[in-house]
Amino acid sequence: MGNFDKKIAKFIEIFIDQNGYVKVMEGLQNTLLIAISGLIIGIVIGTLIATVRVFPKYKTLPKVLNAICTFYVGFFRGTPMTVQLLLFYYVLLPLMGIRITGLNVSILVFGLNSGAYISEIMRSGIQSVDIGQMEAGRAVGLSFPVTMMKIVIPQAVKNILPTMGNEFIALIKETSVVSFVGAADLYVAFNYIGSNSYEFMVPYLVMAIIYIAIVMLITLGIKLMERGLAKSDRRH
Amino acid sequence: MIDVIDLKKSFGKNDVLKGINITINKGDIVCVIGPSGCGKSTFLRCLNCMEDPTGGSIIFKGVDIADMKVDINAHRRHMGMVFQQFNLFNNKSVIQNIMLAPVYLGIQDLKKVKRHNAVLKFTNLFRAKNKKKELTPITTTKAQIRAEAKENALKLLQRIGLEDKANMYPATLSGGQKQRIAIIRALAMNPDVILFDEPTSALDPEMVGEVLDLMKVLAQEGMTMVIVTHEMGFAREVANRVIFIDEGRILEEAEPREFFDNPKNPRLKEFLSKVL
Repeated sequence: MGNFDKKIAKFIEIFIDQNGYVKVMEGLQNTLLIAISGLIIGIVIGTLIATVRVFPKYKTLPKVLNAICTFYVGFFRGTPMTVQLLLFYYVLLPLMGIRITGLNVSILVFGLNSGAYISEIMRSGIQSVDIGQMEAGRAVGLSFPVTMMKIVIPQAVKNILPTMGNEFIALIKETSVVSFVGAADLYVAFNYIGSNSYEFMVPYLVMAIIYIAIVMLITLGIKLMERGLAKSDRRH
Repeated sequence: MIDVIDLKKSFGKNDVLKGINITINKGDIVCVIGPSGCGKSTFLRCLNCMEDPTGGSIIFKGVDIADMKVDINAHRRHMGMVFQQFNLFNNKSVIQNIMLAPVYLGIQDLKKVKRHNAVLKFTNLFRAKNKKKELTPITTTKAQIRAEAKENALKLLQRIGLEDKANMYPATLSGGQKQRIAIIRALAMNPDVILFDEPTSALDPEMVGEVLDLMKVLAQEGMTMVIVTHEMGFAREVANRVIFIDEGRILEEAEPREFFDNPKNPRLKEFLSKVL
C-alpha cells in the first residue's frame, strides 16, 4: 500500500497547498444550495399541487387546474433530471430569451422536479389524515384552503416526514448531475483535484465520504424533527 | 329559522333523501330517529351543506344555502356541528381547538373592514366634499380579538369543568371529554343552531351521560338543536319534536309523548317495538 500513501500525500498537497479546499467548499456550498433551495421550492409547489388534486371537483376551475397538475407531474416524473436540466438550459430558457447561470437553472429544475415528487408524497399524507378533520374545520366556517393549511397539512407533514427525508437525500445525491449545465458542485470540485494530480482514487473516495456525512447529518436532523412533532401524539 | 323544502340527495343512482320538508323554528329541539341507512345522518349533513343537496332548498335565515353560489362558509359560522367521531383538531391543544375559528374568522373580518376602508379613503379623494362616504368604524384590534376568544374559551371550559385540560392535546382525553369539548367548540362561534350527528354513538356507556347532560343544559338555555340520535330516553325527555325518517322520507313528526306512546305510522310502530 505504499502507493496509496503517495496518493494521499498528493491529494493533501493539492487540497491544501493548491487551494483545492476552496473548490471543495464552493462545491459543497453549491450542492447544499441547490438541494435545499430545490427542496423549499419543491415543498411549496408540491403542497399547492397536492391541494389542487384533493380539492373537490364540481366546478370547471378545479378540473382545469387538476388537469394541468396531472400533466406537470407526468412530465417531471417521466423524464430524467439530466434531460430536464439540458432541456431548460439549452432549449426552454433560450427560447424564452432568459439568460441565467447554470447554478440558477439547477435550482429551478431541482425545485420543479422535486415539486412533482413531493406533490405525490404530500397527497398521500393528506389522504392519510382522517376526513373528519376537514369536515370539522369546514363546519366551524373555515374555508377549504384555510382548513387545509391550519389543520390537515400540519398533520399530513408529520406522517410524511420520513418520506420527505428520503426526497431530500435523493436531491442531495442527484446534484452530482448539475455539471452538465456548468454548475460547480462537489463532483466538479473533486474532479478538478483529480485532473490536476492525474490521480482520481483518493479524491473520489473523499467525495463519497462527504456525501455519506451529509446524508447522515440529515437523517439525524429528521429524527430530531420527528421527535419535536410527536408532542401531540401521546400523553407526555 | 331553517326551512327545508323538498330536500333531495342522491349518491350516484342511490336516492338517499327523496323529498324532505320540515321547518325548524328558533328554540326547537328536534330529534331525528330512524333505522340505520335511512338517511337521517345524510339529512343532518345536508342542513349545513356538508353534503351538497341534489335537489330542493334549505332556507337558513332567509337565504337558500343549498344554492352552490352562496358563500357557504359565512353561513356555517352560524350553524355549529357536532360529530359522532368528535373530530377535534389533533394538532391543536384543547384551547386552540376552541379559539381557532373565532380568532381566525374575527381577524379576517377585521382585515376585510380595513381593506374596505382603505378603498373608501382612496375613492373619497375623488368625491366632492359633501359626497364623501363614511368609513366603517373599527372598534377592535387583533390582540383584543385573541384575548376575547381566549377568555370566552376558558369560560366555556370552566363550564364543563375541564379548564385544567386547556393545554393538553386531544389524544390524551377520554371520549366523553372530547365530545364535550367538541360541543363547546361549536358553542364558541355563538351559533344560531347546533347540529348533532349521533353525538353519543361512539362513546362508552358511562360517558354517554355526561355528554347528554351538557346537551340538556343547552336545551334549557334555549339553544336550537337538531339531533340525530339513538337515545330514545333522551329524545323523549328533551325534544319538543321528534321526527322519524325511513327510506328517505319523513314518515312521522310529532311531540315526543305522542310520538312514543301513540305512534301512527306502521313502520314507526315496528321500529319502536324493536328498540324500546
